[in-house]
Amino acid sequence: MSKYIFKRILSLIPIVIIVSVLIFAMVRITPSDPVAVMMKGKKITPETRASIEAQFDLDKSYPEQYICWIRNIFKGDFGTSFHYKQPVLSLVSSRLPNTLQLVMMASLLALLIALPLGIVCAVNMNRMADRVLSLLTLIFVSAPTFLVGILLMLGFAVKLGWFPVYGAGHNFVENLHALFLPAVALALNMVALIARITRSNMIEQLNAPYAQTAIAKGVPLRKVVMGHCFKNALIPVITVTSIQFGGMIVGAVLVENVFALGGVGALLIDAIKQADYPVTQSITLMMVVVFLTINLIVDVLYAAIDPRIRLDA
Amino acid sequence: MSAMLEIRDLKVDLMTQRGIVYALQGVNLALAKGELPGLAGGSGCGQALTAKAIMRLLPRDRSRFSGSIRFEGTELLDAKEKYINKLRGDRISMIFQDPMVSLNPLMTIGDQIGEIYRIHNHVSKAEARKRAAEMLELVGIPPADKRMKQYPFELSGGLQQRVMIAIACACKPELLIADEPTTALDVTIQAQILDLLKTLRKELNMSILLITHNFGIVAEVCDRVSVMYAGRVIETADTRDIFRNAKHPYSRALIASIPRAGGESEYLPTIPGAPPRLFERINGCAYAPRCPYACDVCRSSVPETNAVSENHTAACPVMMNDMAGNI
Ligand code: SF4
Repeated sequence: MSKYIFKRILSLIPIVIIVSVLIFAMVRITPSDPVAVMMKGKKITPETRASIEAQFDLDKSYPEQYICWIRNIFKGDFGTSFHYKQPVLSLVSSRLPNTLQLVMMASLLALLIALPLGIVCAVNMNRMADRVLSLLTLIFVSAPTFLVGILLMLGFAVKLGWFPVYGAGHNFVENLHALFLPAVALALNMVALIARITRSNMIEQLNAPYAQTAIAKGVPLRKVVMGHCFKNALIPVITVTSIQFGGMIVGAVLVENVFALGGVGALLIDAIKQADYPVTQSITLMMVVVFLTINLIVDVLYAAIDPRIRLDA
Repeated sequence: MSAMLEIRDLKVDLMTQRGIVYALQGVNLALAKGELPGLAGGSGCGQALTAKAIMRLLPRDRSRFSGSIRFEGTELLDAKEKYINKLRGDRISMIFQDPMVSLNPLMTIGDQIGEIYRIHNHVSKAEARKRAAEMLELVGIPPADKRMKQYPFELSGGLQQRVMIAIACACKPELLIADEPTTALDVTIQAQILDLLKTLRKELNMSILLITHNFGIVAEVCDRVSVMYAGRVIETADTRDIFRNAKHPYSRALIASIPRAGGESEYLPTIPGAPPRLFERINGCAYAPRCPYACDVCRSSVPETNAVSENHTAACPVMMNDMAGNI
């Protein structure tokens, strides 16, 4: 198993290198002029322009800029924001942990709701319980997240005062409380898809011949469902959850805005608008690393669940 | 002969998306302790369904039952789920056609055998593991301690079926239902599995109901055979009797289509046509459209099952009354 993980990590290195080149290239290809943005569109002399470009290394050739970027990353320096005139790392480090924790809490909540929901629906396929719950999840998925966020905030934060109205906490434990409502708002959106995938896969597994064998062995239905079928239905569920997890890191922007959390998604979007090369490219690269890590974890989970994957590797 | 299992006039209707299928239209079957009868017939003729009805594996909300299935005097059709769960795997077991998909792919062999023993005997994990090892030896898959930790995909089809048998027999059932247990396997492996079943029958003193479409297998292992067609048993006889003196034209056709190893020609007589799809109750002999001897009598009412000789019954008035002369 550890050999398998090690091999997977090694295989990620070339991917990161290639992606970093692509990110660098894409950031430069966009038709924007960082100097003009920095000067807020004011007319400047060529001399001023040259000095600004020199200050931010924009006068160097692209390959030089790229190598400079990468070399500095290894020194722990992700560059300095054109816009904020602050190191990218300090900008990100105050935001990324919050966003990651928010997304993690949302995913966990979503799983806690969606898995039992999907299983109950599958076991009661096409009966009343299934129909009602399926309809409810459909309503969840069609409700816009930011609206749900506002409603939750009005109800539980403003009216009842159970949660802070806005802003994140200062550490992980505080955030469990502070990020709860936004996490719920995000989770409701995930629930529908995860529940539906769980339902359809559980139905498939419940009808599989091995489930029939289990029943013929005298295994009570509850144990057939949880002991045999659930594990077999899990892999597609993990896949879908991980994809949604990745998408939410940037996709949480709306909710983060409602709750004034200042997440990493908003930072990235602003940076793109302002042609803030160092912020854009570094955050994007970090996102890629986060995605690849999620993928790695997912692969390890697959192997842990399925001996055919584990023993083949 | 006191019957251990007795099925009387079993009717099963299945609600499918294309309408109601009258899948079993009055099955009569009896089985005594220690017997090894065959239940033969083409696919879709109702043998597998009969087996599933005994095991109560049919979805209750999508099927209708009438008639009776008695096991050691207890009616199974309306027995409580709890009772059935105690019966399944402990007193009546079943093995299936395709072992490849009938084993849980994510569970070790040892756990899958141990599970059934634990459920029915409420023993510790260690004891269940011991039993699993014993069973692996018994069905001929040594070395047990290595096999226990393997997963189904690491075994060949033949070994997988042995594992299925080990599971089914772990609690020493009184009755084992084997639904086409060798159909998915190579010919050489087939013979080994059949031998294993014969041995286990003696060693565990159990009855085996063997479902097959292959009369060659009937000849090889069964004491008796009941032939099914279109949801009914159309002939029952001792194996020797049926090969000598089959009455029903469908039984005869099945016997004629036994694949013979080293036969003179590759040609296998097949029966033209296909079994009817049972979207309605057939009034008359269901075999009539394919039967060379069919006449008006056959189409007017469902043929009654009558005795041919002591242990031989058949449901074909034409052939039994010798109306067709000496065919
Ligand atoms: S009853 Fe008539 S149709 Fe049916 S098998 Fe006998 S001869 Fe053929």
